[in-house]
Amino acid sequence: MRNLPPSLRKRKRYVAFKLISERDVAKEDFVKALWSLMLSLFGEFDGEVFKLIHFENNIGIVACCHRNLNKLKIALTLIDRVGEIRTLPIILGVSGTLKRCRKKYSEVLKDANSTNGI
Amino acid sequence: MIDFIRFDYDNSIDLGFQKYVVFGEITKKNIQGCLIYAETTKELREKLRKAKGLVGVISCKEEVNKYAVMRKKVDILLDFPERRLDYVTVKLAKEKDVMIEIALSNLLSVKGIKRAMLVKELRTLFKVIKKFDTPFILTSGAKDFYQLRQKKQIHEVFEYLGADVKRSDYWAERLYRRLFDEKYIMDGLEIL
Repeated sequence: MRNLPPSLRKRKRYVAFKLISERDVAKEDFVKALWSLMLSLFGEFDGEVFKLIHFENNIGIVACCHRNLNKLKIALTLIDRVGEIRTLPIILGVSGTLKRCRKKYSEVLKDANSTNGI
Repeated sequence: MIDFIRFDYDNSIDLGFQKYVVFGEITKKNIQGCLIYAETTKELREKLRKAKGLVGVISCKEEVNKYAVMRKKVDILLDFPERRLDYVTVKLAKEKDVMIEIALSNLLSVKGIKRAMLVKELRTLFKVIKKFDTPFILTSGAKDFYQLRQKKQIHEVFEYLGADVKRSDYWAERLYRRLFDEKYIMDGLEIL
């Protein structure tokens, strides 16, 4: 439902993550993999509805409701294959606002390489 | 903190673990663990004679796991999807101070009904572990690079299934001190 009053709006959390894989993963394949895992783990009633805000070069931000944050994190953790590509998902952090999430994690990722642990 | 893996990892990515113990492969960069697979108690007894260092046992038979817990040389009951533990074994593990490994790789390697069954068994296991305060460790149990996960990711998954993560950290820290701290002798006794 749109235009809800602030008291009825759900608080959001933004999860920044990185996928380590042999080659770049397609955005559509990743969304498909995450949805199928979310539905198989938690079902249609308890599964969390998420929104992929940003995904580029295997780095992305997913938005979800703050109450079901752990469900999204579990689904992200249990991704081991996107399409045919094997992946190692790494959760970089969680933020309450998109601005902060981008500032905190995306800027760090510009200088990231395999030796500094990100 | 310490993680148990099944391949020789070169520590290229920091996943929040200080050391890795490798079971089932020869390593020079990490700590070498001794993996014993046995299907009968007789086989286990024979293999244990040659075993050295940090000894981990895997078996799909309940009686072998129960027997392994009672042996002084065994340090850890390693995890794999076909492992079967019963109530008595978990209780004995507390008395004999044998650690039970619970690995995330099992959840990654199975899907569908098998995963649902595994989750059900894990929930029960965590309840029994909590009841007896049995030593346990939450690990990745990775067989290859793509099964590795960050420490906090592993903890989040098992916390959702009912594990006492703080207690697991305590047991992992204890094992780490036992292996690397020269001043540590036993619980409550160390060289100052």
